[in-house]
Amino acid sequence: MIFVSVGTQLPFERLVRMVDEYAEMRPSEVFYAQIGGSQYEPQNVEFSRALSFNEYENMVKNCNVIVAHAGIGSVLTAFKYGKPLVAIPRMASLGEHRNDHQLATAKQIQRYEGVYIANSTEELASVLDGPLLSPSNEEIERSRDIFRNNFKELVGRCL
Amino acid sequence: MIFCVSSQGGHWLQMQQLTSQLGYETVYVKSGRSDDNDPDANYYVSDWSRNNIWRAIACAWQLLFLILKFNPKVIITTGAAPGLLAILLGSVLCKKTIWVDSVANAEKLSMSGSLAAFIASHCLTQWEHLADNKRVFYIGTLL
Repeated sequence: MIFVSVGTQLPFERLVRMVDEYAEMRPSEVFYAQIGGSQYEPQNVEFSRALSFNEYENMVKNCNVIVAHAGIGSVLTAFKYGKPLVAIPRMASLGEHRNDHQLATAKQIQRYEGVYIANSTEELASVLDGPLLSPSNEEIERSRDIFRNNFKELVGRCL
Repeated sequence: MIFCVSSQGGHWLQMQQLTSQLGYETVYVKSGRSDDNDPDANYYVSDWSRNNIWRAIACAWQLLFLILKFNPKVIITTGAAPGLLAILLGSVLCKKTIWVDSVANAEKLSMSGSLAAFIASHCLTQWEHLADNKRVFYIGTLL
């Protein structure tokens, strides 16, 4: 199953359209999309506007790959469950976010194995049709532990 | 007692990853839809951003009530706008406050983070090149 998510805050029409176009080309593939406030409703993909925290986590656990906006929530969740992520950065010039921080996020995360960036239906198709690697939580957890230890020390000094 | 405030989504995941193993008694306050039934959220407050700033008033009252109720020593937030309110209320109430800017802000600090740098006891960025080591510090990253 391909799980699609635009995040909790803003609509993301372009992502929904890209996935819908891809789904039309791959009728045997199963999709589920969380589309938020996007006006465009996909014709070839089962969808809901919002998912509860648990529904979202269950979708991620059960999917083979996540297609999502390049939000940190999507990235961290993909790592947490070791699911391949195709991230589509929102662009401020298209009115998809207040600024271009998702382009910066995309630039930073594309070095990780199992993380892919797509900006068009063609790019999305070429990633999804190819072999998908899974991100490894272990590597990222090592650097997180350093942060957690330093942070614990900081909180300790505040108490 | 530690008081953690975060918006739903990526902010919330970062809060959990950073604080769930701290080992202190913690109250988790989440801003967003209270029907998302998150088992880790102890309380919900109204979400707001620059686009619907009037909701900040409700959020401020809810946060004030909770801070007075629990009287925490430290207030931690990973953003976004509701977290800035918690920092503001916390500093007025003489609490230690820690702002952790989202790892999403790789090119510059968020607007709330830039403001928090002047108010919070500690302001952290998750990108080394964004630390000025005067008001904004880097001690690690989640990504």
